[in-house]
Amino acid sequence: MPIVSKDPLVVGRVIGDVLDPFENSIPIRVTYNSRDVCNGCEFKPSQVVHQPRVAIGGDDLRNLYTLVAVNPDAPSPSDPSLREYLHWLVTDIPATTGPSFGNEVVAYESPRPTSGIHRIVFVLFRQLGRERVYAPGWRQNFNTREFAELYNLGTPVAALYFNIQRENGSGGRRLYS
Amino acid sequence: MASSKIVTMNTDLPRDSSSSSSPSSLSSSSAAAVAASSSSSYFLLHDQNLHYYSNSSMVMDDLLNSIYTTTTTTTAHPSNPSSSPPPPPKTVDDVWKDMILIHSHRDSPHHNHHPFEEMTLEAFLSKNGAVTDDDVTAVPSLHNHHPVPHQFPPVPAVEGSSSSAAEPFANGIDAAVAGGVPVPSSSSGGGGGGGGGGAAAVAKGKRRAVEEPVDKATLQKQRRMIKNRESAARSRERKQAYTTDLESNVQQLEIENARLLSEEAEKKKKRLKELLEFVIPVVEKRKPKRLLRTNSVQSL
Repeated sequence: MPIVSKDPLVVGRVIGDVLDPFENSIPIRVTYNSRDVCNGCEFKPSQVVHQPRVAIGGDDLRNLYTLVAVNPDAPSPSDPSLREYLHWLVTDIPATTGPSFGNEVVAYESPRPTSGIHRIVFVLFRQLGRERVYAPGWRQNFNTREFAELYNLGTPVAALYFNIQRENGSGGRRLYS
Repeated sequence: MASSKIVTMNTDLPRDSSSSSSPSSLSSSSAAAVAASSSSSYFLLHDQNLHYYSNSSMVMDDLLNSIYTTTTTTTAHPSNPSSSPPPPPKTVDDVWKDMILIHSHRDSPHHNHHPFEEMTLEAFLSKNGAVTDDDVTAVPSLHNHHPVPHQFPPVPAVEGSSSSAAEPFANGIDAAVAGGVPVPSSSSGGGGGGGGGGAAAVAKGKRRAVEEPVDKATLQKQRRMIKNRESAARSRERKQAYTTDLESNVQQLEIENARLLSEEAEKKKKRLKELLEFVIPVVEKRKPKRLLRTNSVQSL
């Protein structure tokens, strides 16, 4: 069996497609309408319309974190030409708080996949300091690795992902998408 | 017929290997090995209809040669050609794995997301340059791969394709052996819809390593099948990822639960102990027996 790792991020290819291997050091909890996100669980577009509550662990309020939410399977997992599609970008989040205390650089956009089953990945980085982060000109073809390198964010401290597909399911042929 | 043809075709090869005009399909090391090792083992290969094409699809020949000659050289001492045994019988899976391993050693893996077992036939071919990328997209692997793994009909089965993929090979082999003319396009019999197109190509009698699309329906089907295969792989991955996540969560929760329970029990014990210390032993006085008034002689 080629995949020996027990880490769902590796098995689900999040580490590989979006991120490099890292050590998880800060607990993160993402909640959509009182339903927690666990790795690989499935949500419907109707459940993720509004931005989730994100609880960031850690103990020192002085540490600031950056949260990125991307979709590496846009527009379709078999042909991810728009990988990665940026859904949310919040910086300067103090530890133990949430993104509402941070600086929203790119507003939350509700994922609405048209074909296939997509992954939505939340990545948390620790910031070294406060820095002006510029929003990219467009959401598609975002590169989390490059972004982290550009702003010296280092390796991620936490990551989480869930699956999402069309409201009515992905099977069958669609004559008019 | 076909087999005799092959023997005559390829008897040139070992004889020429001593001279430097060996065909390009033989690398220098394998040429030396061929010269040194017994020619009987080499002929064994040909008897197995291994080298269907001498010059075209030379990359596959290269690979197969290297597999077989390495086994012969490792098993046989080069100075003792007569005693070299024939190569140990390898299963199809072994050969396929070897082929892929050889290539993963040769190339820096561009297919970074494919564990090698899942490499599709077309990916493998396009890496080898037997098929250009254009052809890969236009013509699925079955067309191009038909000539070489003549004795490996289960090869596509190794990569987990459906059984329908194995059938085109069977059909193709029968047609080719019967016809005595190796026509790659006869593999378009796969899927059934390409029978007419295949016949037309057979009639032309062309031998081509790289195919033009003969039948659109078959093409579409092949493409769909490959996409489906990938989608199935992704789905399995998803399922596995979710399961591993659940398992790890369960494990964590179990640990925490056990910890919390033991903590609670400990705290309870402690509390009980503390309470007992404050308990002052109290002795109840016996209540004097209540004397009932009776008509006794006492009250005088």
